[in-house]
Amino acid sequence: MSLRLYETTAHLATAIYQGDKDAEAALFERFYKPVLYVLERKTGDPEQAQDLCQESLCIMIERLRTQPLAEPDKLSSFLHQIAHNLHIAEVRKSERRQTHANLELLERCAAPGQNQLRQLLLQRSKDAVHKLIAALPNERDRKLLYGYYIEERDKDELCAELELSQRHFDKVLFRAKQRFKELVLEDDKR
Amino acid sequence: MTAHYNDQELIDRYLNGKLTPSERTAFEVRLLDEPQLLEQVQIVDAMKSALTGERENLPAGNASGSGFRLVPFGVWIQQPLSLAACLMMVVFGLQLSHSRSVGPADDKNADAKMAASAVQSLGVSTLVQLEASRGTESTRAIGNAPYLFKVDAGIGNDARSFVFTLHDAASNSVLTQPDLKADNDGWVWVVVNGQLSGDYRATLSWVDAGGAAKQRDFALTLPH
Repeated sequence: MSLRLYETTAHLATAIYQGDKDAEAALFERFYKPVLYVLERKTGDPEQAQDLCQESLCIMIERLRTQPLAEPDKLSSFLHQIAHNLHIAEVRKSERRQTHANLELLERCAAPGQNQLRQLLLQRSKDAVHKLIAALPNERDRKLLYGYYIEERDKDELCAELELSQRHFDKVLFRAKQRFKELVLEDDKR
Repeated sequence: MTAHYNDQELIDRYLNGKLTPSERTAFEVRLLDEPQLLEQVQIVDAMKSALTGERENLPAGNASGSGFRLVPFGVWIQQPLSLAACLMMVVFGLQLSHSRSVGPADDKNADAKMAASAVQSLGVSTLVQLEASRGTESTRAIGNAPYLFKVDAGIGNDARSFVFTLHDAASNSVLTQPDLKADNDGWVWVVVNGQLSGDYRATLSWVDAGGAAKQRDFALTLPH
């Protein structure tokens, strides 16, 4: 199955309504990673996020099977809303709507591919950030990273305290992120 | 990092929980639609988490107690020697981008000679820096022609080319300069020879990787 068969998410939505089973699997493959990430951020619990993610996608597919979307190009918004609502329901400890016959769908859809970047980040972030800190040219840049990412302080406040222009502040952050990414991916080439 | 500069700030604000509910929803919908943006968010998220784990290796606290004083660029640039040094560097950068064949890249003496030569040949008198972070606030510049404009295209902006235009207060076109490049720090450099005075609107426009037309506007005032 190839996502390229469905040029846009609107095509995907239409194909599912028309009974195209490959389109269902393609939708699952296309949206699994981003929906899982968003739900992980919301729940802070990878296992719960995985459950909610699968349920969101199944609800989406079942909805598309029975009724076309009024605005198929807004499929992403619709899916996000489903995921958000499921999360809210979970938080409120209310009884979630249980979807049925999803096992058949889950089995037929290709298992979501391993997120290679995610694995690399899990394995190598610690070393990469250690090298990043060591390579920072001065103490001010270390203070900037600490204040912004650990203390989560405002940019304006940090710029004033460190006597930096906003442009320079952005540059330090941009270079840090770029270097971090290089370090994570660089290790992969060894 | 290919995400646009504005996205970088959005990513940070998302991860730091600083987006409003409606901004967060809009951003998360984009995450569902834009795999590259999702990748950038995952990278910064991982860096943020790893930094938290390394917090003992990062200094907290106020910069003023660090035993040295950082001079803001705005103050630094007003010093005559700083302006000269800055001009040397930027003109040198211009020369490098247009004339890679002049001297070996690692020959510092050759570089210095070329920089001095470039300052003399261009005769730049005034540096005008247009930063996007000023928003709609007008940049005031004092000095005479020729001007060297340093225009903020955004860090990481890797558009193939930029067009710089300058309009006066009556919206008359003063200058249009196509086919410009940004340097590695996201600055576009333009030399303007004619004398300027009054209010102007400078525009930098480009086409991004997705084929969308983008532009940044800057207000500029030069005293009569």
